[in-house]
Amino acid sequence: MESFTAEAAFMANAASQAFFQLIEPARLMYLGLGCIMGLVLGIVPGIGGLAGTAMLLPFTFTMDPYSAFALLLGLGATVATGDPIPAILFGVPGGAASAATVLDGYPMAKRGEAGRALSAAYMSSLMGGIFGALLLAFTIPILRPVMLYLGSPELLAFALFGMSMVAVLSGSAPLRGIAAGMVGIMIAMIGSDPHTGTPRWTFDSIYLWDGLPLAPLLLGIFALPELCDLLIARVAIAAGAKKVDVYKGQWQGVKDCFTNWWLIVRCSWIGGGIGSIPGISGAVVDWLAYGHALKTEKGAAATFGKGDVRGVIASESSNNAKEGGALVPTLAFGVPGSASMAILLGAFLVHGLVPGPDMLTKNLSITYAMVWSIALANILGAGLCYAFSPQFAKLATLRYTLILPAVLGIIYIGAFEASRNWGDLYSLLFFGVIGWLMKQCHWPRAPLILGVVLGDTIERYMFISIERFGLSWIQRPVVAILFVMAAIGLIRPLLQDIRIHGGIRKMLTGFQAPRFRPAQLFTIFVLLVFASSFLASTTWGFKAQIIPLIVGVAGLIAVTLSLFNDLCRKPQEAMPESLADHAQYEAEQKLPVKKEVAQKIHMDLTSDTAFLPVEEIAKRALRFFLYLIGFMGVMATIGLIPTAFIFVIVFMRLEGPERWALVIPYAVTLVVFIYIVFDQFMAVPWPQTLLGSWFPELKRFVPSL
Amino acid sequence: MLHKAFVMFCAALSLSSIGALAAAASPPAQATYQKGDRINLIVGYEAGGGYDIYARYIAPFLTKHLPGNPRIIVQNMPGAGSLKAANYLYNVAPKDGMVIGVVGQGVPQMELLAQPGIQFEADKFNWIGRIADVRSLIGVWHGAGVKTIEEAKQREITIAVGGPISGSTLYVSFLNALTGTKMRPIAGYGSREAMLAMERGEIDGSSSILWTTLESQYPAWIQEKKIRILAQVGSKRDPGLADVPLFSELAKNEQDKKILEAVASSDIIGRSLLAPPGIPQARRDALRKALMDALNDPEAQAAAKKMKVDIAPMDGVALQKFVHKTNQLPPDIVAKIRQLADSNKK
Repeated sequence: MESFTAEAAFMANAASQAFFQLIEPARLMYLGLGCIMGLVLGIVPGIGGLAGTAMLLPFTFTMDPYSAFALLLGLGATVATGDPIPAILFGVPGGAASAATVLDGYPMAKRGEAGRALSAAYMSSLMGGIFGALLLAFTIPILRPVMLYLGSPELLAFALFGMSMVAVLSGSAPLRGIAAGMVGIMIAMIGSDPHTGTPRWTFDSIYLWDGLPLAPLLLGIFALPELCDLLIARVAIAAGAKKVDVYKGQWQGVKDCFTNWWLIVRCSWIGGGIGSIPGISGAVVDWLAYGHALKTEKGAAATFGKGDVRGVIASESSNNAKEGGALVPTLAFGVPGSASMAILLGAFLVHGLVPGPDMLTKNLSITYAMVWSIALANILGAGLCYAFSPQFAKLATLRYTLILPAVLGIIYIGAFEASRNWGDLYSLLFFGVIGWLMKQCHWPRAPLILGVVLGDTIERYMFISIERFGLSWIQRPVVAILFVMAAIGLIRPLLQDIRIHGGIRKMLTGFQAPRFRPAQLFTIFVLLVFASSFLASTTWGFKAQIIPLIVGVAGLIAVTLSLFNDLCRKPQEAMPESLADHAQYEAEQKLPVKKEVAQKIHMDLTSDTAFLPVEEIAKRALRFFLYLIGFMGVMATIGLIPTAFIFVIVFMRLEGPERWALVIPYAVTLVVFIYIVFDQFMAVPWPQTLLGSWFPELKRFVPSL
Repeated sequence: MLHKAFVMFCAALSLSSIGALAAAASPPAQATYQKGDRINLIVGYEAGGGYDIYARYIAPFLTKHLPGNPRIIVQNMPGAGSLKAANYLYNVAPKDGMVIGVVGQGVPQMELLAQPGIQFEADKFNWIGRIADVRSLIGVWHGAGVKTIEEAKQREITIAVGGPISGSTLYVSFLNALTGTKMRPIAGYGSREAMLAMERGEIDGSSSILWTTLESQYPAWIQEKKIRILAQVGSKRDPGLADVPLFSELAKNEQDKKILEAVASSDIIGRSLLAPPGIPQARRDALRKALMDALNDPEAQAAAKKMKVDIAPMDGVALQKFVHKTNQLPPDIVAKIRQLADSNKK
């Protein structure tokens, strides 16, 4: 007991010492600087904390450790506060960990509740961030033993448990959800295989060797479809919404957070916990928290995905907490919990700090300074957001011709920042089309992201576990518990479905002769993708092909069943759920992921909502993607920065047409912004352009040529 | 009519101004760098990693010692174990000395191992010089039941390795094949994860340990003898590891020795700077001289100490020779190396 008291006193002393070190004006200034940069990078879609941390790292070499970590963590911690802003306003996630925010935040903005959604996002970010930091602060003494207890099998079990969330995130389309999840894992398998070096589905391109980068995929799957639909609908995002007082909305958002404080606590622990597991990156914490909220919150099944503020709260509180979590393995063992932590680790070494026991004894005050930095950054970040929020909220009321050019231009750079390669832009376009089709055909997109993010981890730890332990690892207690939890997560929705259908027998009957619908073309496309990837993998060595084969077969089965069910199931107009379901669709204008668990209809496709004639939808979508292709063509010729200028002009004149007096200043502002931030500050190595290779001298005058 | 004339005038004006700009922009044939130049330093890895830290460490001192003090901008171009950056530097980057790079130490070896995707000849790069070499080690945890490389021939131990073509994998498989050790590689570990896995008893040892990392970040492991080093890479034994055999010392015959030396050569190339082939000789020589001057600069040495960056310079001429030498192995040895490396991929 005595030693415990002594220990507590020692920790408290270190914590207070750290606090007073940190609140020196110069250090607070660095923290504030980091916060502002973090917010800006968070708001810019696709550019996350990683790029920013990398950019700032060299500047920290000459600082003292407290200032250095204040700056770096200030940035890292607030990125997730800025992320929800474009997610809510435009349906474009500002970063990987805000994709789930789109599901409820964007419908809220469409309803005219952008102010409330933003406010809830900031407040839950703030609270989540602080809870995450608290969790870190209190678990510091037990970090090392816990981490030493968790081996590769446990990490595998965590990843598989995360994967089991596919069940709840697929809503009423479990088969398509499973298929999407499997597609995700297959995408994660792209690249040089970690055991034999076999290039898997790389199409002889070096770009795909390291696997597909996440940012273009995420922007393609989630951001482009929303923008495309915006162009199709040709309205402002919050069109038709009643005028709502922004300040009132803000106050409501704050109240929402306090009403749901327990949800915030749970989700921030999920965020902190998941963030601390190396390999399971922050890109899925939002989905895991969202899935958790969906399972546990009252009535969530009927309202999530339709603009329920709790969806925003769950996602945002978890992703701000992950930064504290990601510090855990970095501090305790020097194993970075995320990509930005890997950079932070570089800063550790430069400052002569050795991750490991020292951080919990000799350098404990620095460790606590980091905890304080995260906590203060979250407060500062949220405060700044509140200050600018009314302006942000107005963005949703702007015409689409004003929103689209800037957002699209920046998405291009965001995607390009992933690996600074042309391939990034091709993937963006490709997954944009896929994402849009998924949305139109009611394929849930979240399972795909889960698969992409967790696929690598699953394969890697699966091999390590089996090679090292044979099969005995399954009996390890943590593994067993997680497997049981995953199994429950998978089986419960199935039982619900059976109950809804009135028993297994009824579920397996009720088929008719096949009826064809256009949406099934996409299902057939997915089927073909599985089949051809499966065929391609048969020539690989055993270690390279085993996981892709298993996943491929599972995906093939799921997608075949889905197609059969879709073709042959009798329409269920007799069921009241179907009507309710239909009405909900109409209300929300084909919002993609459906979450009606309580009254969900198993293996049923709701008929395509055709508010515009299909032909018109297709025509306008084609127009959207032609813009994108045109953008890339011009960019290949004259470079990105001049292209952005031309694109703004062409788009605004063709679509609006907007007045020249508006178009020109708009284009100039955007180009200057891109030039300063990306060319001058981030020193992006622009790709080779045609004009640049013809007239290399011009490069001195035209940036990005 | 007036309107048309105006348009024509504007077109002519803009065309001629482009021409004038182009003429003004073409640089005079200058000997070396001048004030206001901007050199891009391409790093084939993510920011924050080992290679990146070296690049960012050296950049300001290169600026200081180059004529005209050109600004040096570090740009990260990660991809395919820096193969992407190497291909870029060789084929795409302008050959005027305004782009230089840092690529993986294994890049020259990639040709030897006949890896796919190579679009360069390592020999033809302009090697500017080495900042530091590295020393890879194979180490085992104290409870592994094996204390020396001899004992590792009697008893099977598990060794964490990285990817199939990484040095860590090559070291283990080549030693197994040529010296009879029984190390069972478990693939998929990063070097730091391997340390953690060793500590928690998941694996016996790791072949991706760097001596500098061990010394600076795990000093307690050395003092308390928690880790035992079985073998080291390098051309001669490190003074701190005087009783640990070199890879090449474990060879049973002359041919095997050559093979093991070739596999270990990447550690000697270590953290080096290179430039595209065909850059003006004056600029190459200026870069080579500036790098050596920078590494001898007391200010740079002090900064290195502070940033925990090791320095072991090798000048550009010697480095170029070394790279050339590693690519001039007799065909039978090359064939044997490729055969052994391929056996990993099964």
